[in-house]
Amino acid sequence: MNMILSPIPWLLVIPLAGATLTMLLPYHWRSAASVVGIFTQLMASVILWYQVTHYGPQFYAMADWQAPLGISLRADGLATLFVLMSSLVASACAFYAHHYLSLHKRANFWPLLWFLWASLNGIWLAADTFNLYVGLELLTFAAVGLVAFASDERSLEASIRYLYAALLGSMAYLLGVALLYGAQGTLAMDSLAETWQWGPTTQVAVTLILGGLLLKTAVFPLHTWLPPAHGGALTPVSALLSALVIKASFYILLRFWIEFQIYQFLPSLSQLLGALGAGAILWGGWMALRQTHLKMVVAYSTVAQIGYMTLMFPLLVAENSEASMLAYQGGILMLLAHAFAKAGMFLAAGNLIFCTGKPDLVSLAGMSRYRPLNIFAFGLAGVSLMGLPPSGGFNAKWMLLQSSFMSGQWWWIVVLLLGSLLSAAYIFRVFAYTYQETDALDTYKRPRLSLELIALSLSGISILLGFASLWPLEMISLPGPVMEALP
Amino acid sequence: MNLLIDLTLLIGILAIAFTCIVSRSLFRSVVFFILLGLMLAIGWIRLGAPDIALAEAAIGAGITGVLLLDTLGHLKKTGNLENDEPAPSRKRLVLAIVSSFTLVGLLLWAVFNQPTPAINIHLLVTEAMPESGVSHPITAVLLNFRSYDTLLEVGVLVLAVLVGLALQTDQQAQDSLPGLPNPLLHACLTLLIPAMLITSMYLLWAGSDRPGGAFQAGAMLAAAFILLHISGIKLSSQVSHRMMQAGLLLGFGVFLAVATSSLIGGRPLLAYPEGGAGMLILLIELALTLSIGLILLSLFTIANSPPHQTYQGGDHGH
Repeated sequence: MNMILSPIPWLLVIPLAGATLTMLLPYHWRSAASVVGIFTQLMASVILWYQVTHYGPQFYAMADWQAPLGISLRADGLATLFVLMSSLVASACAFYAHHYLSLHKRANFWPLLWFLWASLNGIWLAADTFNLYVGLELLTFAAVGLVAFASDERSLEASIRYLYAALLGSMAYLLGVALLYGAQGTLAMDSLAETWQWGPTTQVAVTLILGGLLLKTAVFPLHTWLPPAHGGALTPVSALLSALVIKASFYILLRFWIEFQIYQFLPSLSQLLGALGAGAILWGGWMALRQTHLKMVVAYSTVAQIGYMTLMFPLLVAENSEASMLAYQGGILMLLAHAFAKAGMFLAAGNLIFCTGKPDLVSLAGMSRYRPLNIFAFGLAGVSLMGLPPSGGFNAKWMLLQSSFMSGQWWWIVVLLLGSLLSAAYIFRVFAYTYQETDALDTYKRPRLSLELIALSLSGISILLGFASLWPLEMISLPGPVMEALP
Repeated sequence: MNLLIDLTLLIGILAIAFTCIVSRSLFRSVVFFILLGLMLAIGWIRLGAPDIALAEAAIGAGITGVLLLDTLGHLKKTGNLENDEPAPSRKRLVLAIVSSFTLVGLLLWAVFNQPTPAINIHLLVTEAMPESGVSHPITAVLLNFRSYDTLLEVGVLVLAVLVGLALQTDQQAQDSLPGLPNPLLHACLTLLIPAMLITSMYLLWAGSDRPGGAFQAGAMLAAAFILLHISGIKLSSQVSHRMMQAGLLLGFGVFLAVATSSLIGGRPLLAYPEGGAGMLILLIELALTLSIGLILLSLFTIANSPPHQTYQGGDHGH
């Protein structure tokens, strides 16, 4: 593949240049420049998708130095799917933010968004453990900046908490990578997988990396930083954080787990991950049911949904290749459906809060009558999160259920069913508030139609994924390092 | 003899770190933290890593120390600092001690059982050195073999300032540092500042064949800027905020431009043209030095600048 035609470098250069330009340009030009950037990003993602589906996985040697001396990037099916996902969700959130934020806020939002986007693409395409660390750092600072950006006291406190948790996670990850480097003399994931040898050093390294990434992904019981940060941020930021940012550390964990075949050698650790996932589903669902603020319900729902994704780890079993494949596909589909549904739900929640002017659930009374479009967007996202058919969430849960049956791990079936009941409860509870009739006339504010439509289209995609699940599943099953390492 | 030095150093580092944590007074903690940074720097020298030692001394002890002292001053001024700090609760202390000892134990176990690496990356570096454009292996790794990581790391620095600037826009009432009218200090500055600038440039130049480079040089430059700032000579009043912002972004911008220019020539991102690596690395490092100096200065001044001086950029500017 000709180097100049590869979209891989452009996926990084455009957001980095976007960040630089939007810091320098006058306020009014920043949005215009960003819109150009967003379209080129979408185009580059589609070109990458075309190349990967037609010519197989793409490799790119940065600075023309081959790994392990230099840093390689690679785009297999999984990475490409994530690039597409983040491009779509980030574009939608960017357009939402453009209409939602004031000129002044928007001006500072753009460079932060572009750094966030660059780090996400960098992480999806990375094939080097240290490069992943740098990507995580860039992501952390952009995300913390975006949380702090609301500039009220609560969000500042939440962002500092988030910063500490994320830095602790990064440090643990870096320590683990340093140990791996000492033991194997390489940072590149391909050569690490080739020369991998189990021993005390690798075990401690894996433990540290696992701990760090779990903290960054906010897996129960390390989730306490997430609800205030995601619930307290400005609406488009909440959507970006829940839909994309936590997925980055999860993605790294997944790659480590499969490519280094940790699931084969430490099955008990996989069971532990499953147990944490179960805890997240039940605790997150229970807490979502007890919140009084709309965005906090949605934030705790994220805690619970992370649990579903974590359930794929114990289902990756070496002896049963069919069950493993189903778990892998179901887990990724769950992640994908959650990205769209949660972004849609946060944006719809933001619209509702804009209408009532109050963040609490009680003041939602009458919204179903006066703002049905927003309730519809919220509801569609809810369908996918609950796992009702037809939706991406349903198909994903179904595959995880099947995988549990096949590998004979019935206890995860109980967790999946209980979790669905809890999700239904906390989502219908929100609905119950919106259906309450009030005598008040429609004196509520009305968000712009574009804001309502963006929320609706994101939620709609999570439903459409129920009909078009095969497409992403075929994509992640394209030959590549992950597929080779699966049983 | 060497063993004696190492043992003293080891015990010293542990004792200072412990004092830093348990000290009741925050000021003492900060002073011990700076001392810890310097001791660690000596430790790195003993381990044969002078590049890390320089960075640790300049950034870990120097700039971080200044930032911590500055924060402490703010806390005192705003009255948020209680003079008699409550002792950390016993439960937390026990938890912290148990978890750190567990971590240290695990790490020791891991390091003592470390297998011989299957890949010998030093050989790969030595082999590729002639093509790297510089003769110091660490500079070659940072700005050629793994330049992509460095590009993103500089991005992290820019991002840190960006977050600071974004938060600054609605700052509560600020007190700008009055500056010290001490004549002796100013006399010292006339001697110190040129020496610091020369050292900074030396570190930058040295980077191509021995320990040094943009990060160390930038930290030294920042130290000079901060010293000037504290004594009342403020860079922000000398240059417009537009200029300042351009200066902050210069290093990252030049790096990114050089990286992208190779795409136009049909080479992969960040690949230097044949024979041009040395010059381009120097160019990038020069721009980076200035930007890193300004970035570290900005991180220091953001907290101290009065609201009307905020670098909001754009159409509100002059």
